Amino acid sequence: MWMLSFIPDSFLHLVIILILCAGAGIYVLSLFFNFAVPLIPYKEPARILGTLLIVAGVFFYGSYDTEMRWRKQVEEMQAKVKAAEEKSKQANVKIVTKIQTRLKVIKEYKTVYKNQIKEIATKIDSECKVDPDAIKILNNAAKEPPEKSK
Amino acid sequence: MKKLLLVTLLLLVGCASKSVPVTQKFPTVPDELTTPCSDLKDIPENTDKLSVLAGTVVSNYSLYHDCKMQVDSWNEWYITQKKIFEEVK
Repeated sequence: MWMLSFIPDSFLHLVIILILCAGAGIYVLSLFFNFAVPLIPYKEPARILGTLLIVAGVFFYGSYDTEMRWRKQVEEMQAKVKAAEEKSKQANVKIVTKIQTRLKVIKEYKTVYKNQIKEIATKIDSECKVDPDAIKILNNAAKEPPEKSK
Repeated sequence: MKKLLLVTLLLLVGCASKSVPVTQKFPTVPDELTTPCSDLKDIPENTDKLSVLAGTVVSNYSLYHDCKMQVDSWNEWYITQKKIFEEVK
């Protein structure tokens, strides 16, 4: 069936119509063979040939129609996939932009809070001394927990 | 002859029902979403200053926000892309 794609559609369609018309024509003509005595022996072969051509023509017409519908489906699917890929790219750009903006904001806030701590550093350091054990506990808590629980 | 014509009509549906050979690939995740979250920072052990401790805590909160944003974005990316992917059918 794939070989059909190499033949121009209009030519294929024309050939199929010609086969169908030839079949129908021969069959109809064979009905009049009774009126011409010399043609009577050719009546049956002509009817058989006409019928075979009609059968072949209808089969080819069916195949042609399926082929055309198939090509249309492929084209539609390709267009859908292309549109989805474009949409997906746009969504990616949108998400990446959002991430970059968020990262920037998080960094800005971090700087603001660090500066605020610097401003009150003298005050809080004079009022409170942190026990080294507390630092150890906090550092341990910051570490990734092992896979097995205690 | 009538039977033959009936068979001929049946031939019309002989080549039907094929699936379309167009494949669709699921999009690749942007690099921004695949970077692993950083480990939390330790407080310098040779200090007893609350300001140093607070500074480390702020840094760690910021790392958490980075990581949370990344996970949220991952989920958003997957849901969006899945929706787009499933629209093509």
